[in-house]
Amino acid sequence: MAYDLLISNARICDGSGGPSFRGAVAVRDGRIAAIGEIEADAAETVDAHGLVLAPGFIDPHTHYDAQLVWDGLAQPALEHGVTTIVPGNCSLSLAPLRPEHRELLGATFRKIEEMPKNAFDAGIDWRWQTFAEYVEAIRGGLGINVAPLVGHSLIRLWVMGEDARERAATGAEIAAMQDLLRDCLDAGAIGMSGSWVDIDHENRPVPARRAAWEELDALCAVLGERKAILQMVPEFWDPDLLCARIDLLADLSRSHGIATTFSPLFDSNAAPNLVGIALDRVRLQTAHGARVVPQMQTRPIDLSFDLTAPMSTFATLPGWWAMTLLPKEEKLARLRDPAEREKLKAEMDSFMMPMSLDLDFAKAFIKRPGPASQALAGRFIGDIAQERGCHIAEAIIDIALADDLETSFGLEALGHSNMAKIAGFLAEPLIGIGAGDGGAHVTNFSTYGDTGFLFSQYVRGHRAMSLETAVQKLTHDIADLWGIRDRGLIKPGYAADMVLFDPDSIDRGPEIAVDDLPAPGFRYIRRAEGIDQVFVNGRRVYSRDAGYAESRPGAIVPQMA
Amino acid sequence: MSTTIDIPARRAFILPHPDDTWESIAARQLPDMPLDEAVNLLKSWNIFLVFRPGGGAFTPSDVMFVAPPPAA
Repeated sequence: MAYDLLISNARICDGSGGPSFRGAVAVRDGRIAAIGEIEADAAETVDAHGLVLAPGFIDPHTHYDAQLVWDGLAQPALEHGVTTIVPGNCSLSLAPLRPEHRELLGATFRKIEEMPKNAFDAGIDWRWQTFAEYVEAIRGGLGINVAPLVGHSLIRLWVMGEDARERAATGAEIAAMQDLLRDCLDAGAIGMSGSWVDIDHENRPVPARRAAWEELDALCAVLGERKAILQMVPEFWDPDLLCARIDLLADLSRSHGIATTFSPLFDSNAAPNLVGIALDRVRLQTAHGARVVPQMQTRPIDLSFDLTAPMSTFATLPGWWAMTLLPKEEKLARLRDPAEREKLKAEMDSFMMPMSLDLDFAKAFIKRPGPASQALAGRFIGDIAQERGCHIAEAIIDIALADDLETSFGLEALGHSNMAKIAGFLAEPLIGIGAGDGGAHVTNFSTYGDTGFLFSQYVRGHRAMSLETAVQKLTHDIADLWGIRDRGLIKPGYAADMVLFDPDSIDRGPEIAVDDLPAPGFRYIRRAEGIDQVFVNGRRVYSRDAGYAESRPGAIVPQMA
Repeated sequence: MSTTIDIPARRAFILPHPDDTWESIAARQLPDMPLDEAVNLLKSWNIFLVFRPGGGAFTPSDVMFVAPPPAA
């Protein structure tokens, strides 16, 4: 046979942004061998009539680090057409990590990324210490490609131990971090991630935030040796702070010849000019030779909460946060105590909006009812409180108590929901699509399906961009920025990572709760709509008709030379 | 920090040294002002640091503004 796979009769959208065209794509040995009018035998043929064939989508901002240990498919990423993921963002990876720091890092990772402890503990066997060992631990089971970042907090922790949480590094420690970063890049890291905002499970700055400028600069010098990328989390809610961070990233980019990216960048009613201000600053710095790319998610910001564990919804309600941390019996007693209820009511009346979000608990709704609240499913807390003649806080508490705390409450469109405005931002060439947080916040909201949402809302809906541009922004643009080699285009010689989809129906599905974690519990996901087949390195890994395949052709993707 | 291009910041800022305090920064950035007054002014420009949990502790990676907000 001339080819392993021949996909014919497709509308080929090759990722370049150029006009799509009718034709066939042939694959041999995991690579794209030919494109166009192809008359040849193949071991397998696919008739793609009516479908678009695009490069597999790349998700640059994920936290699948833990999930990849027990699920090499990173479900449901593949079924949304994502064939390469970048885990390890926001200064947090799972390696390099000494055994004595596993509990510390695990607690921080779970708190920031909102992962259930039981699933984390059940799913991670910690059979690694070095970054190379982590890569080997996940490599064999991969159905999806992985371009992992190494976290700055992990680098500091390895070199400095607990002092990483307390102080700046010495010159010798910085030199040791540089050598360690080189080792991680040699082992497959695509770049380094950091954070200027995250706090750990003890409400202390993550280790990366203790770094003085010369340390970050020294590490970026190493990134510059390899032309590897730096990802950072800035103070995304404040325009002055955000512009300062853009300037700092620009300095690093110019000094060391590296690409930098920050996430998230989102719009809100509380800060309606923020994105425009940030974009102007990015334009200015780009015009002066820097590469600073903001990542913007496509979906509105939805949150949820329950009273079983601290969640980001309570970030600026310290009393509610502390209450969720209590052992169950003590928590139940506290929630029934009149004096404590008054405190919680008062706090809900006067909290500061977290991160410019439009948080109004009256608009919370019963998202996952418990045994006693089934009849309240979908109803708003404000309406229920009015009917009961009680405070909103009391309505939440009493519904949760009746359900033995099993109720989940939802909040929708807290920000980034002015879709006509978002449409313009997403179409902006200097704004990258990402910041999705795939694999994180699993009991809070679904972080999957942003790619389908881009097509349904911003290509078909708001007509903000063409199909070709949307594909380009999800594929070639990301591969180019992140230095991901031989991916992001349908081009001879490139890896045969491809997605076949119906352009008229590709979308994200409704948010659902599934029980597929390695320990009892649920997570929110969205299934894909309109995705027909997904190929990784030339092999089918998912089809609409048959689901996930047995093959595991995913790889740790190499960086561009 | 090394930089090859000097583009004026939207709002002037510094990154604290590892051993800096509010007083040392105020003395350095606002040398012509009585120290107490300078510290208060510096804090007023950086309320987000003052009200951070932990009582006004900042890290060497924090942005600290040394000028008032830009005019609207």
